[in-house]
Amino acid sequence: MNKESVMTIYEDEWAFWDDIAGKYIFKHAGVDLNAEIVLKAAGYYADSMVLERRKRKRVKNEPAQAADK
Amino acid sequence: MSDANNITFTGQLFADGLPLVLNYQVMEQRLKQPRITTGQRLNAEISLNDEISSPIVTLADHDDAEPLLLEFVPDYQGRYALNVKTAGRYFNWQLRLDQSTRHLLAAKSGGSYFELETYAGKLKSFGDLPSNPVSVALFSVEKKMRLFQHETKEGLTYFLDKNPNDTGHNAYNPSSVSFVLRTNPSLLSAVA
Repeated sequence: MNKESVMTIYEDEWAFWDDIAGKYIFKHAGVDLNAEIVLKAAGYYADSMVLERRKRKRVKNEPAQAADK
Repeated sequence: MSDANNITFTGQLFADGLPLVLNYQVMEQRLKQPRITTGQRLNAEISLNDEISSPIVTLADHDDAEPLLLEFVPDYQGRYALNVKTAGRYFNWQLRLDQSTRHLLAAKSGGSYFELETYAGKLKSFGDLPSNPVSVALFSVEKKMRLFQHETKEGLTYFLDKNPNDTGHNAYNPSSVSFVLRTNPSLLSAVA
């Protein structure tokens, strides 16, 4: 895990990033753990998933096929 | 070249559903992505300009990447030399197993020989291919061994004709790679 590397998140990726970071914290935050570890891990997971998501290509559905039926 | 056992053909290879390409093609594709971090960009630029890593045969990042076009030139006894026919930096280079690392890469000269093995046994000539596309194993003539696939810690997939298991424990012995060969349809019709 990089110590202080911060990557750029595009606007349409924010919701995705927040969702992953939020869910990670919700699951793992507790009284017995160092909060900083949880915070860093949440950021790491969210960053990594954004990078992983960018590898996928997205194809739009064929428009309005139902219209001619 | 009228001898039926000596037909040269072109085709593309796939493994794990991904096309085989040269590492520099992967790096070019990565640099084309609009959203790329500085770290990723620098790594790709280093690999792209590195004469050692860029001709390594690897797997593409995405399944719709353009596969490396290879020419299969029969020698005799079913041995094939593989030439790169994709336009660009490595056009007409030959696939070769590096003499020290045993990695599969493109080299200007001194290409290695391979045998193609289908479920029906070693391929004697182009006409013996049972289907197109077809599952094949690449058999290294030098080492008398099918190619294995391995990956560096950084995620570069490569192929080699040496057991990549360096743990010494036989539980980690790999099985050989099952490639898919798709031959070029225009040549198929020319043969018929």
